[in-house]
Amino acid sequence: MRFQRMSSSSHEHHARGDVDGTGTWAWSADFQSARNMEPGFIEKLYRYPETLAHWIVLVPFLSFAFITLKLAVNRNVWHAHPAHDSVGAHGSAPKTGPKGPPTVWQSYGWFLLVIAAGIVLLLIRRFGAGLLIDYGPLVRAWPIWVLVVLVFALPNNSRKWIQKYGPYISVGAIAFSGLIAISLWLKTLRVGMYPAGSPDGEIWRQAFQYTWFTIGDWHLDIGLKLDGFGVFGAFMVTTVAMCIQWFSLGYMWDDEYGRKHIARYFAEHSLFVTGMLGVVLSDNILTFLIGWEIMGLCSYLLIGFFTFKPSANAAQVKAFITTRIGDVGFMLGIFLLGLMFTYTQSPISLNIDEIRHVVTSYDWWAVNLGWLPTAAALLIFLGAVGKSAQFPLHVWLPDAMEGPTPVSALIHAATMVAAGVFLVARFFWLFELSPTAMLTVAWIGAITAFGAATIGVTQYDFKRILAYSTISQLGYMMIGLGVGAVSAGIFHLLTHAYFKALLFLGSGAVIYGCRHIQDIRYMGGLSKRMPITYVTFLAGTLALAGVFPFAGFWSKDEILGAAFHLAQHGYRRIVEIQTGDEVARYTTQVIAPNWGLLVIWLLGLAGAFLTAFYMFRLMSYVFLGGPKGDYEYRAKQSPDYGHHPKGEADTKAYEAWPTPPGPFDEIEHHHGPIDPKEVPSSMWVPLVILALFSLLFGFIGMPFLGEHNLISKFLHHGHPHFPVADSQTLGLMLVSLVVVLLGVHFGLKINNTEAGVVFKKMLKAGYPKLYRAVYNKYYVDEFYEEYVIQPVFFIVQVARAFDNYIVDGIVNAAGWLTWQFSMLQGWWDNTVVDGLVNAVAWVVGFLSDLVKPIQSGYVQNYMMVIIVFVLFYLLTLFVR
Amino acid sequence: MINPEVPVPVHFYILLATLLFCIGVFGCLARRNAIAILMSLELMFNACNIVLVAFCQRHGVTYTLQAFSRAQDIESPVGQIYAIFVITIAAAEAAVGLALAIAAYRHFKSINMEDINILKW
Repeated sequence: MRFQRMSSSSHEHHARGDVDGTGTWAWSADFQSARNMEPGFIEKLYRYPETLAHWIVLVPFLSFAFITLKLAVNRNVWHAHPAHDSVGAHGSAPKTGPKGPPTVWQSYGWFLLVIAAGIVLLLIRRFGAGLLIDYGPLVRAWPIWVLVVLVFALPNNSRKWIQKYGPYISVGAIAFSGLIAISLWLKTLRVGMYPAGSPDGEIWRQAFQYTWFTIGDWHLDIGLKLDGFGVFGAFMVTTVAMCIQWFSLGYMWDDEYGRKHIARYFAEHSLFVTGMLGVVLSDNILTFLIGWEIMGLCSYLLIGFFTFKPSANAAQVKAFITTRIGDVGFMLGIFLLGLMFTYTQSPISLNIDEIRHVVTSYDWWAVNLGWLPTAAALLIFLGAVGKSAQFPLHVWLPDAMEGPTPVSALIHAATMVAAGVFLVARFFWLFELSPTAMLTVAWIGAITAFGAATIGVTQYDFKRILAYSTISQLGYMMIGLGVGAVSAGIFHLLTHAYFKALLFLGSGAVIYGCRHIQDIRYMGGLSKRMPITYVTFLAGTLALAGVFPFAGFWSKDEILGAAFHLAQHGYRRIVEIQTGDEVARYTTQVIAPNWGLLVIWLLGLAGAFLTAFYMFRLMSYVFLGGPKGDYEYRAKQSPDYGHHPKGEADTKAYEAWPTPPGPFDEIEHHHGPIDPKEVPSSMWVPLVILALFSLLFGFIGMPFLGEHNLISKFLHHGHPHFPVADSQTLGLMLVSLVVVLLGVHFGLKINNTEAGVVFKKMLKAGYPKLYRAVYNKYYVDEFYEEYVIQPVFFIVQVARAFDNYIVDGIVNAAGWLTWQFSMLQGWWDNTVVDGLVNAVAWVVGFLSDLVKPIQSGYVQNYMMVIIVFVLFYLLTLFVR
Repeated sequence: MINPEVPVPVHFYILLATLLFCIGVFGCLARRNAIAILMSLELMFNACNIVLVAFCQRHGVTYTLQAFSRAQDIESPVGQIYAIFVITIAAAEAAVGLALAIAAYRHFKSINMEDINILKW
């Protein structure tokens, strides 16, 4: 159906070889029909990937649904299998479940029910013509029926099957989405977003559009927004997710608990990818929000993947609640957008483009309503702050590292946390209406970028260092957006996704090699033992640090240059006024030039220095030099050694294990390392792919490219602004490169040279309070504990007391009163009402006792009475 | 002395029937033996029969019966028919009454009416 509309467009004629361009065909009718025939999958993939775009989102979801349904349907088989008698993943948890294999009805009963439902539907269709059932949705939902048939009719009924093949289904689904996303991306590059001779966005007009439901005259259209953000975002998400899932196959299989729950893991991964792609590709707020919340859910589920770990449980709850605080702001912001719609008296729409049109074609400041876009932007930014772990809601992200490492790579580094940045970019037309909102974004980003980098300097946990670097880099992206350089911010989002996924997967490889030890003080000299991991990790580190010519260099310098540009020239917004067919376009100053704003640039620069410093400190700890501790001894002390703890006793041991065990200086330098080996190829191949991306992806956004700068060409806001490699840009690049190289130098020397160690000790001794503050993450968690959580608990106690004493008291009083009243009523009923009734009965009995002897039982008495009365009657006849 | 042409006045019959009825009533009320009570009942039935027949003879309708070419006046036989019905029913009643008497005897070992007083509340 969609395709027929497409065939009739003028664009189609050229694409399909209408060489004379007249639009008429001199060939036979057969040829005509052949031309209207739907093309095959390969041709669609190459020529019209936008017609397949909805599958990018749907296929991962179907994969999730399939694995989950399969797990649910086959749930009763796992415990029955004698090979899995020791399944006690929860230790003393009693085994439940049926004793024997499932019956045919248990295995296929649902399927029979589905068949029966289908038969019923067919019967209704055949005989129930008057029922007016619309079969369109049922027909359009054919993937669901295929899924149901696959789930219930496949000739296997054991959970082992899905545990074995579920991961491959998930990886295959992501690969399929990736295929479409890549072809979409390639077509974008090939054709461009705005081909000459056609109105804006003509080539994407055929993409998925669907009227979800209609309420009166109003209808909700959902669809895909295949602009540059969507296309590049989908490309990034699918490629990164593909690599990470590929890596997960080996990583999770190595873990005993992970191996048993690998299907659940991959199902949640697939669902997450669905949510992320939904966010990236949505053209309306509703599906955007749905994807956003799906991501939050999957983040929650995957952080707590190791359900037996109390720390993981705490971390998942913390992450969920913290991001929820931001989401409340996001929702309120959306409501404020609705309020703005009512001010403009426009029909409510959820489509982002239509909201943009309504909101930006109204001069809010002229009617003293400037607070509306400001408040809406700040509230929406609160959602981004929660999701992207910006200060002050950044506290959940380091704790989220309790999840499996590939989860940290995908969700808490590459994609989900970047969704907040993506949100701000999507709604940037709202932010640029208000200088307050823009500067808030920029300052929050700068504070986060710098502050998180300082914390990263002092940490010892491998993944936590990377987590703080993620927070810091997200701060950079926010700087980019806040200073008005949307393309720079999104550019950094894309490059960061690749190199940070690479770094996390590299950390996963190291943790895999070191038997789940994460403290970098126990590592060292891994470059010789894990050379491929080392080289790829080095590539990621160079990219993160921003060393020429890796990806991070280009994107970070773009942001820093934009920050400098803001202080220099301020920010000017393009205003378009449409009168008839003519569009008048002029710019208006949003943020005035102000050299005080150079602090943002300086904070970014200092953050760049610190990033290079802590990343190469990490490198020197982990990969360079020699082994620094007694791996074997330490590792065997840890219940983490070789497996994950299971059961209550092990959980207690896990809690008791001190991390970190003590200051660096107290670690004894024994030599007897465990033998970390290189990871298998299934794990290093994704690393290599990501390393290539980290090296090459930045080149598409070089300022030297001019008009061919793909980032500026496709990822712009309003109208493309192509950066030029003038002397100022090159000078700023040189400055940041020098700063970064200084950071690299200090990072490499701080622990490996005498001067470095002396300097470090001097710093620690000279500023002990500062060091402790930074080491303890500026006590933000403690602040929240003291000033947020405790007050909330106090309120909770007050509310509980109110509930226990006031509400319950009222209820109990009502109950007591009812009891007393019913006692009274019972006395009245028993005594008065029953007494009256009994009195009546007694009177009747008394009177009947009086007259009863008349009925003597002697027939002759009765006869006598009859005769007497007859005689009496006769007497009345005669005696008138 | 007795002229057969002169019909017996009807109040003679009524007087006789009243006498019989009163004897029956007295018997029913005064006798203790169930059989005697049944016999008294028969007396009352017969008093009724007498009244029926007497009134029929005195006040009965005369019909003209036409058969072929002959016509004949006949007196209505309704009173006699009723009397025969009453006799028949009295016979049946006597059978039932005797059966009751036997049943009562089997139950009470007596047919003295003073012993039979369960016909109450």
